[in-house]
Amino acid sequence: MSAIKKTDQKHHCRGMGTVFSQYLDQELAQQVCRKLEKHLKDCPDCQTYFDTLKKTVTLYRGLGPQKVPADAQRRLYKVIKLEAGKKGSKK
Amino acid sequence: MIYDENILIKQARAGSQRALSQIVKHHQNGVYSLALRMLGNREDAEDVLQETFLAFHKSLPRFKGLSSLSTYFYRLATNFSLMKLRQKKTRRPEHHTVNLEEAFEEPDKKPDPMQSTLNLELKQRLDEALMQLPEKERAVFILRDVEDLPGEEVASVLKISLTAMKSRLHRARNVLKEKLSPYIRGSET
Repeated sequence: MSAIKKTDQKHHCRGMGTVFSQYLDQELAQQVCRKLEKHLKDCPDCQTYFDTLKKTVTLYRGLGPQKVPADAQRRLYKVIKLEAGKKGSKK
Repeated sequence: MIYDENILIKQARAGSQRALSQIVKHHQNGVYSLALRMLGNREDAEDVLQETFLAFHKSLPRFKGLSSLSTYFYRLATNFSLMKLRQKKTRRPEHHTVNLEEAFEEPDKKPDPMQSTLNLELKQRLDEALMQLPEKERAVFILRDVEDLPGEEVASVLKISLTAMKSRLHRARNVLKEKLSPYIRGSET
């Protein structure tokens, strides 16, 4: 690829990059989706970029919620007066 | 047990400890999880956990329920976390440290030691990258991509427009991608 074409390609890719996040969240209109998918097929750099972005988000989504440790939960309940069997509590 | 938020709020407002307890139990992990990832250590996350539910407890008589409890608790927890980060900045400049052994302890599971090491290393990298994001972008990313809240709810929690939310999310994702890409590519070979 000539230097000019490469510059054009990079410029074009920058424009596509702004929609990757929305594509991940399936927020793009069908027409834009098709355009992006075609671009990804033709542009290995963007495909790699998108794959890495997707993998990054997938890894974080896989972390899941952290459970409150038992000792922290005990202290929390004490603070807000929720200890089990506390006298005078309504049922 | 069926969790009916409106009924539980009414009961808790009338003084039912059991209803209050159910509400806390239902939301405590989300609040703690968010605080832990915002602040990077267990002690501060526990402070935020207590502050969030104490604030709810105190405001119960006046609680209007204009947003869902989930949104309300995430908003409180985010604000308390951001306040804590600001207080720390004004006290002394501090590098974020993530105590992973504490932060990611999983006492109920006994996985394969090799897998455990890999998981811990991965979690460490993910968390270190997260802690390097600017606070507001970190909050958006955690709520949207870790806690899996819908975009509209994230915007509502943070009281920002959906457009601003998407812009911060896009920036955060790209920064994290850049920070993690050597590791992700390396793990694929």
